[in-house]
Amino acid sequence: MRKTTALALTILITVFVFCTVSVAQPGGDIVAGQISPWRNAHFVILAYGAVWVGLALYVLRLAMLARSLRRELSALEELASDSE
Amino acid sequence: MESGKLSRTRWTRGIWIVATVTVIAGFAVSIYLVFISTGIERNLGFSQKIFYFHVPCAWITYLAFGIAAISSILYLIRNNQVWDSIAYSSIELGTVFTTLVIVTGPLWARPTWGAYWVWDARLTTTLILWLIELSYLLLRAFVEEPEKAAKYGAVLALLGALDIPIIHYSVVLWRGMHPVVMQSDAGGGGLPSEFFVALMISLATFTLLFFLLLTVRVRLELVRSRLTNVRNRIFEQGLA
Repeated sequence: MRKTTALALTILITVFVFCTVSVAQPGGDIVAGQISPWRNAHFVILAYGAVWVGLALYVLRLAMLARSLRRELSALEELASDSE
Repeated sequence: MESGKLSRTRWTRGIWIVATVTVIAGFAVSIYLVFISTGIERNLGFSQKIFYFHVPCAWITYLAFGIAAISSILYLIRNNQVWDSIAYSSIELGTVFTTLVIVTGPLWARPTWGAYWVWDARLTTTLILWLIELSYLLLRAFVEEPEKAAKYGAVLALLGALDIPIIHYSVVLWRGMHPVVMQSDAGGGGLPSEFFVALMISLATFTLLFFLLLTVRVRLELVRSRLTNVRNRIFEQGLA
């Protein structure tokens, strides 16, 4: 499970970096309202990517917390059964 | 009794599935509206598309802190663990969204203003809120006694909530570079209708996602605190 999540995150980040690099213009950033509106696309990809990665990391944190609580619960159950 | 519990579990699961599917569909519709259906803004260009995720993240920041402040008041009055768990979870989740606001904002500012960061009133007050959220989480992590941590946290959450109206009205009080996002006296918030619809769908989706994540986080927090209580009781009995 952890390996799959790590792999999925790695793929997500790689695609995200690749898209950003591929749309970034060698001429540098430009102020809006000039020439092609697509020239600033890498900022949009970075911003949307940051939101998705941020949310994915938080969901992963919740999953890890749930897992650690499950472990703690089974440890307590074992402790209780031992004392009986 | 058992069948009642079972049907309640089924209901809860059903609501969960519907909410999760709605969030996924909401994001799909938002992406379609933002990138395919809605046109490119004439002055700001393609970078204006950041608006549709930046504004909902900022709204969730307000919402999270608002919920945390109300829960903190209720905790201080009633001393009930549930209210503290809601406040803590809400601020933790709010910190994630404030971080996203602070990341997406400069990415929009660079092509629009020519700089990633300016010490504008709204940007500065948002940064202050983020620091308050971080200090809340640090306080909760480092104060060892849970009751004391909850009480100190509740007071800090209430103090931090004072920053929300300051952030909101900062663009009116101190005229900086940050624009007024929605003008309340104009129809559709002063936005063209297609932009307004895309923003509203994005806002609704983010709000639903926030409540989904908040429910999960509160449940986990309640389980965690109960487990801690049980463990402490077992050890106390073992030592006695």
